[in-house]
Amino acid sequence: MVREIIDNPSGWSRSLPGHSIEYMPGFVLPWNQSVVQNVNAGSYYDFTITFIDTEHIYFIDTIQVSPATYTNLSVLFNVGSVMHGRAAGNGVVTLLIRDNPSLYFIAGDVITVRGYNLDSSTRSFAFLVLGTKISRSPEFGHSPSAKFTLNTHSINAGQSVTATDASLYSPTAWVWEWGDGSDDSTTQNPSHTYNTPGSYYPKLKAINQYGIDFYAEFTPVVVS
Amino acid sequence: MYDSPRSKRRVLIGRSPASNLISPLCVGASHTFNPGSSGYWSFLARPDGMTYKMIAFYSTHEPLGWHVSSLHLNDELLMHSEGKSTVHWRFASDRAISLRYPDHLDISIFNYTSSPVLGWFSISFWREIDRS
Repeated sequence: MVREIIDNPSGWSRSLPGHSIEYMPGFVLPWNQSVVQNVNAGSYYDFTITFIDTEHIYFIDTIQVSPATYTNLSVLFNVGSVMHGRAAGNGVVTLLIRDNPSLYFIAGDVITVRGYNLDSSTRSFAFLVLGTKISRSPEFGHSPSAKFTLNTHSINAGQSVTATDASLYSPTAWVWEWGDGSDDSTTQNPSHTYNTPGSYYPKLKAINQYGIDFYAEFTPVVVS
Repeated sequence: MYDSPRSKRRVLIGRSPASNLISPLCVGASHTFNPGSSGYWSFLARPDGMTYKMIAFYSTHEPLGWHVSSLHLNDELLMHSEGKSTVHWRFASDRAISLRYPDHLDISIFNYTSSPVLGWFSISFWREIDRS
């Protein structure tokens, strides 16, 4: 049966983290994707969802994988190539995902639910992904995920390091803070000369039309 | 399920700001545990001026057997469990554990069984720009 949500008397809302983000309570629509698949003993099946809807922001609430007959299984949830959860059990396995309010999906994002059959026989697995979605305004997109690498972490005073931007989601501007009181750099892959001995944590601020992100490595640049 | 024209008019009032919406972060590892052996991992919040909010912790073994998982924040015990099930600690988003550099998070997992097992864990965070 298809049901249309025609009002929002309970004031459901999904909020996104951050200090200045305020979404008024609005419509939250359910969505789900499912598949039933035979999985050979000791093997797995990848249930991949590619988001193509440009008009909504998607959240995942629950992932459930259940074998048709009682058996041991394991479930892995990947966002792109990053694992966000893994569970194992006998019978149904459920991963609760909605805890992380910054885990949202828009057109172009890909998730994979991998179901492992740990049994010695082929089993039929039902994969179910349940979530909610809200409308996406044209101004909403992924802010960068800032990252960089350095060519070295150990130099002598007067020598320089070269940073290589490795940010995701296509930043269009970069601000590099070097930690030594010098002026910031604003090119994508800058070099910087340290003149005073010490330990420094260079920090990258990556910017695109949707937001900003920061990144600093654990390992400082040690200037002897 | 479909979107009615009416619903499209009503949703998401307000603009998406140029924003603090930062990509989430997930850390984790897999490890083969010999019988009676343990694994230990330590994570340090990056010195990037951001606040890391821990929202979920999963720990599981294949095959699933009795195992011990514990989580320490700055050497203080945060969580501890012993059992045969997947460990899934969830923190309500408004009470997520916050980490800032130089906070560190230590995970230790012990295989209590008499068989080698493949162990997995993952920890999910979201990050916020620290404006304090």
